[in-house]
Amino acid sequence: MLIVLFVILTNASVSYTQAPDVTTLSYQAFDQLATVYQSGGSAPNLVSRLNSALSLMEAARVERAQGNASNASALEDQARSIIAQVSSQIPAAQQEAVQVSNLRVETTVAGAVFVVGLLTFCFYGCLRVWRWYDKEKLLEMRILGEETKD
Amino acid sequence: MIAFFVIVTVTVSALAYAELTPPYTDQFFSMWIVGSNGLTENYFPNNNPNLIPSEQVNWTLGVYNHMSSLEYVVVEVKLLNATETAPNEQTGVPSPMPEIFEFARVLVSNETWTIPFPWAILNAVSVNGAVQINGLSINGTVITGNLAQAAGGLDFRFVFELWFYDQTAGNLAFSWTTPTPTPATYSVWTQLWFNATASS
Repeated sequence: MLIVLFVILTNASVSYTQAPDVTTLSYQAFDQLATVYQSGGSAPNLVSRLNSALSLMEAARVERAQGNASNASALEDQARSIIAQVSSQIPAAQQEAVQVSNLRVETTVAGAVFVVGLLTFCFYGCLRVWRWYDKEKLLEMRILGEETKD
Repeated sequence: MIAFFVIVTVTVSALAYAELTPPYTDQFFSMWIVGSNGLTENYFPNNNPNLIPSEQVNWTLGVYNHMSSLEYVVVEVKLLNATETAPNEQTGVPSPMPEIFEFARVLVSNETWTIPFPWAILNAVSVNGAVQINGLSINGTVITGNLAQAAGGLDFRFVFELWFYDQTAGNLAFSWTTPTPTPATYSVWTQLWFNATASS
């Protein structure tokens, strides 16, 4: 009974401390990277580095299939390291994407308000000029009319 | 004056909304294979699909991402004979056969990915009137094992399935469903047939 308990606890501890495999890590990094693009930002440098990690994973699979387990592990470690670097830089990219997105919205809204204001002001100005012109013309017609009467 | 203000406000707001909202486009992946000259021809040496061991075949795969988003795509390569189940695009079910090779890459929106696919049969043996492929070279990688068997060595096929990472499911998916205009299931795969001769 004690042996069974020991085995269960050992397995639990191993599964608890076991790092996620490199494919799962690549999915997680992609998940985070996708949010950068969904926010309207872009991070081509991080995409390129994640792709280099995927190439290393592919090479590792080939090495493992050919029986070179140690080479495969080394390549996976390199891929894991690149993915960790990419993941660490994603929060900054996300923040930048949000800032760029906010700036774009603010610029567009401010531009729209400015255009509405400008057009309304121009229309109002033109209306005033027209009324002044119309009034002046009427006054001139009156003077001319009085001169003709005299 | 008020009427003018209202008209200008509505018009400019509509233009601003159009500027901030990306237009709707059809979302799809596409995949293709071209021959040694980069066209849909010359798939086999001397245009002869009856291959002998060590004969080099040069294909190039192409994958295009028009999903309007960043995508994690995986091309799974499977070797089948004529009777083994191929993927079904109507139901979105992939072939149940195991993959023998795969390529993975993250594609940005509107990106095209070209994958060189040089391959050769390294070992094929006769087994009771059938030809069994036991060794392949793909992109310089040697793959061994009982990869596929076909009666008379006729109608082997390479099947290329396009899988993508489904963020909702948290795993790779072979098919996707579009909500508009009418719900439909889509999947992408392609295949090329060849015949093999056993090693003498």
